[in-house]
Amino acid sequence: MTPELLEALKQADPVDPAEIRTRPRPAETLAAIIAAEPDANSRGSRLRPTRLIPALVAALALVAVVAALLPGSAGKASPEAAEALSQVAGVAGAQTSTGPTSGFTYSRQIQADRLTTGTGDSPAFSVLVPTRIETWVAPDGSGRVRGVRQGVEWPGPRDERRWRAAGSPPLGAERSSDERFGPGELNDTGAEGNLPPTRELPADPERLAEIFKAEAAISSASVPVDVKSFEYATSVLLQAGSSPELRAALYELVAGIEGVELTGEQRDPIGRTGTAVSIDTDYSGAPTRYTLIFDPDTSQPLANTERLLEPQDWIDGDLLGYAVLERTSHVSSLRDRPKH
Amino acid sequence: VRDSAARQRFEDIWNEHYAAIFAFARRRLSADEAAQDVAADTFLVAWRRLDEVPDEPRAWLLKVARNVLSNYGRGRGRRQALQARLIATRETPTTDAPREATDGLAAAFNRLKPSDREALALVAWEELKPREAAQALGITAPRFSLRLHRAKQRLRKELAASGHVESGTPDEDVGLGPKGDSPDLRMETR
Repeated sequence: MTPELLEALKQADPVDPAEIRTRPRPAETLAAIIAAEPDANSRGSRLRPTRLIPALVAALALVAVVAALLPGSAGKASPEAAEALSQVAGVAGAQTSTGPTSGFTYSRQIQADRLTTGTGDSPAFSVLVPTRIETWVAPDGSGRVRGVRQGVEWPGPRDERRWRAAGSPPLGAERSSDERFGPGELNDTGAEGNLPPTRELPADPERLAEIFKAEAAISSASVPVDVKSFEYATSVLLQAGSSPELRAALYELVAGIEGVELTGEQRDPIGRTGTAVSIDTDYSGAPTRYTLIFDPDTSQPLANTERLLEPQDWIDGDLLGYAVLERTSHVSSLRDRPKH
Repeated sequence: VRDSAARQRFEDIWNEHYAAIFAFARRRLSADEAAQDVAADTFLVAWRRLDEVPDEPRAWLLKVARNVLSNYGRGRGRRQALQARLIATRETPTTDAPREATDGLAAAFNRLKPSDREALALVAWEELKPREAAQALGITAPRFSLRLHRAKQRLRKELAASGHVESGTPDEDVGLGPKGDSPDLRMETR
């Protein structure tokens, strides 16, 4: 970038760094942080404070008390969940990698984000905004990503009424895209946050757990490590092209996460039936269940969902979001799609 | 309990870097209070993991802040709703986009995919050196250089397409190297 362009981009900075530097640092936040125990959450309670400021000290004390009351740190899913996960890990482990040496790995996902919006005195409403994402990835990491927004899904009629009463404001930007990527640009991606590229993850549950825990430990002071590890595992599982060996290791890893329960047979957001395991948490301020749904016969992950466990005024329903892996296949060109 | 030397070290880090971490978060969130939350969470991680904080902590702090920010979306709308002080809220934080695209450059920047914006923002706004930006992203320096190079190319292309002409000399090609990053819509996950 030329210096002129760099300087111009600096002028487009949405904040004024010089003005920010003149602001006083929030002394009460510093005091609260220093009052916190250094390792109060390192093991990961599944409860968290909902806000850091100004109640950080009290909230951390609560976390410490609850952590002390929780079961020991052995870290295991329930026996039923562990059995189901071990079985599906066995199914995956018996499969062989079938990555293409030519053509493209095709996948189609639906990811639904949630918007929660309110303005002034207007009551809050929520809406799900699903996007269908197709990817074509060649063995050299080049390929194509196409995303098409699928309209909106109202959690319930009340939220749509509230939206209309608020004057039908725009529900997020239209974000359709169709991009081509050069060699290497698509196969070195991490599934989430700062995770290493999926293809570099070890197919070893213990080493995977170490990687996830290390990343979770710097992902937030308040997100329990076990919950974050569950989220990481489901994110990586839903990435197209993960090898059977890695799938097996991920299922085994989930079987080792304390708090994971077998939810049983469950339909995913597009109606497919699979086996579900879940973990509950209230770290975000509302009791929530994260669920992974998989096909026990093929070991393929189907979806993950995030649902409220208690009604909240800001959403007329319980589904907070989801990701669905609709289809994976091999195709011969960037224009091809599987027949079915 | 930390000793006084540790406290002093942490306070030095806080005093020197709070504004940068707050600014990083504020660029990506719609309100000061939200950015304060992210900055506070970032420094709480730093306090708890003080032994891991390097002597030059800014890139490490920004890496933590990125993670905190990605988690922040999950609880953000809920907290705001629960406290009945709602503002227009996006569940997933946006990345690096100037909120007031008042000129061609900002508009071109806004059209880039998030990973391109991120690479450019870390250099132009966070004023990181490529080595530091790589650390903040958890990738190697060569990989970041390539990512930045491609982001610049795409920004130039966007500018050219919108009729804006950049003066000066394009960058040297950094050559082949490992790899880019996530596709555009990755940032749209819950």
